[in-house]
Amino acid sequence: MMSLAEISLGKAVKQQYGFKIRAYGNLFVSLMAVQLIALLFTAGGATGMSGMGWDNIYIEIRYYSGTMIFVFTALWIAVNSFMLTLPLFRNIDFSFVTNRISSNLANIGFMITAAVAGGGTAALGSILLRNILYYLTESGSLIGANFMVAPGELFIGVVVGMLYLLLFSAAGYFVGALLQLHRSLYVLVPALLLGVLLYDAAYESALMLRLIGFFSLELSPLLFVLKIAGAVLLLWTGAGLISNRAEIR
Amino acid sequence: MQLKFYRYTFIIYSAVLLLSLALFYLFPKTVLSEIELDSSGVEDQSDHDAPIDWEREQLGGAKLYHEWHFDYAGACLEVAPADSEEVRVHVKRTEAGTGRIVAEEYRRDSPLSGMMNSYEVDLTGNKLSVKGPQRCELNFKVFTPEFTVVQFREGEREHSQRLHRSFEFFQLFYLYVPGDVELDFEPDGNGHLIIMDEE
Repeated sequence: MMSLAEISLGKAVKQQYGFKIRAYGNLFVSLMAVQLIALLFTAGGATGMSGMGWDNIYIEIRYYSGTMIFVFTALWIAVNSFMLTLPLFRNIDFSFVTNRISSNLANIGFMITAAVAGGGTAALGSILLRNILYYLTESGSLIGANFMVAPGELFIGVVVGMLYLLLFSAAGYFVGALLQLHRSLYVLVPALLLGVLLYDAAYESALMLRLIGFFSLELSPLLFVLKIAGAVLLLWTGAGLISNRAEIR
Repeated sequence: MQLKFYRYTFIIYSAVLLLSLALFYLFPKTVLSEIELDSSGVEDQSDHDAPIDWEREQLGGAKLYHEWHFDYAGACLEVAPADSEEVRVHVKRTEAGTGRIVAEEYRRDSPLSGMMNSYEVDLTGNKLSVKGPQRCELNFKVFTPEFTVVQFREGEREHSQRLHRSFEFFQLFYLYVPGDVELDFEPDGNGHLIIMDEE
């Protein structure tokens, strides 16, 4: 359907963004479901366990962490960002006066919202985990170190979590856009990723580990933000350029 | 309708998370805070293996936990491990003619000190039975820091190793016997009598 209406890019993006937030409301419910599943696994002590013994003593330590909640959230955002590039989701944008740029910008807005919601709830989920363990299990055996989180630390956790989630969402969005170029890429891209992992394992080159370490080992907050922002912009730009090359509907 | 359901579900979830946040910070928590993860107060493992001045190394990190006193007039004392668990008895000779036998249990000053079972010592006739501590199983729960929280902190990755070192524990049993009392030790395969330097 053709439209003769003149509309600014900003207004088009705003309209589409608002629509996506309302239309994809179920994704935020799935975020909740994913975090609750992670919480259930973690509260059951799935994070880890170790034992040690001396002459007449055996000590068993069960490890807990909110990291699994974050990992599940990262998977959630990567998958959902990937889904935004699928034809079914992409074609919804054509209900509005739109072009590739406004569509991509609205998607970016949605991903930022998802990252903020995911980062905030994942960090608060780790506090919920602590409360569950403290109030619902035998708290006498709970070691204090790392149990208490200072508000400042929690804030850092929220911000860092959001930035990581933004990176995961940009990666998912880029891969999704790449796969839309040609059907054969649905096989080739996963094969390439698997190949890199196998190469890493065979030659101990640790390409993936080095890539992860590039972000995770960064101790300077400024450099960390710059690294994430750079990578995210690169991935979004790549996805935008790729989607511009896709066939016109 | 469905949109409202999604919205309210997420709002309820957010409210639960915020309530949990308030609960966490507003009410004080009682946890095992005495387990120190700082390695500065923990001896290096290699110190335990050092052959030089072994006794001092061991007792350097230990405190007297329990003491038994016996008056003994006999000329011969039979030391007998009283159970199937391995018992190591460190014997020190004291001044002859005092007629006093003293048994001491030392424990390393650690968070586990108060949780362990003690030795059991009993003197009947000329037989001193020493029963090793009952096997003790302890369960702990510990939080490992979320990597998002410790992103900018150096050295957090050694957390697990430091935790294990803070749990290192030992119990030692010392027996002080006058020099004129002859010692008779018949181990049943599980006991060891270690004669230390005479005082």
